[in-house]
Amino acid sequence: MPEHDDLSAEAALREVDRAQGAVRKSSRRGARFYLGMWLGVTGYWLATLLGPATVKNYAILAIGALTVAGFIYISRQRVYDRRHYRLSFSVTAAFVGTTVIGALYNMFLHPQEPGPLWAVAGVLVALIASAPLLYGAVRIFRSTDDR
Amino acid sequence: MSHPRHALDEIIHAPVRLSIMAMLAAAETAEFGFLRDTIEVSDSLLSKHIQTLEKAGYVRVTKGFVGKRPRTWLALTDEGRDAFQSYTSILRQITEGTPPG
Repeated sequence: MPEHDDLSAEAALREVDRAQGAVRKSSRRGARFYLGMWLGVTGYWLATLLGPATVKNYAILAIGALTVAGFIYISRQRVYDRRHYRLSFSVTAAFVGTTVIGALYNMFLHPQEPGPLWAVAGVLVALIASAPLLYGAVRIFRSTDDR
Repeated sequence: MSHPRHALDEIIHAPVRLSIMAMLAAAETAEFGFLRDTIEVSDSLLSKHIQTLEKAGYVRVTKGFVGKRPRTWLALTDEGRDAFQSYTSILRQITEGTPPG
């Protein structure tokens, strides 16, 4: 008897949904990782641009630790969702770009003692610099909800 | 022999291999242990089915290390992706009762 005799078309389709659901569920962890990185990176830029000197030093340590944690997390991934694997390249490229913008702003434009307007500009730069990570998280959450 | 069930790919249409193919179709790449834990089969049974799929040219197996731990990564080949797409479209023809296109 062939081994598939009791596998109906309906049961096969249900199994396809179940198996692919496991991959999607795993990719939601990736979205939570992006969200965590977004919070950390926003905090880093706010501390760097608007915080006192001691906080800036701690912020550098914190972002270093976050980056290491990110690499460890990525290396421990057991499955890479097809759509999100591709999305990660554009998110990473955009994130590098916005980080360079933030760094250039910090080096050449941001004053040592910012007034209220510069503080608003600092908040905007912090949000722009971390925006690709939030975009990545939202895209993954939306696509896993839709499918 | 006009019923679409006759066109079902025998290699894919088996419970464990179907689960492997479905997961790999949604994934860029997946680790052997992830498939084993999700499909809930033994290492030896999973290896056997992966060998069948690899022989058919549907699955590509890559071995490597994460730190000092050996890891086996699996991915669908283009041929495997086409075969799975064709397989699921036949399943839908059967369940929806539409004639083959």
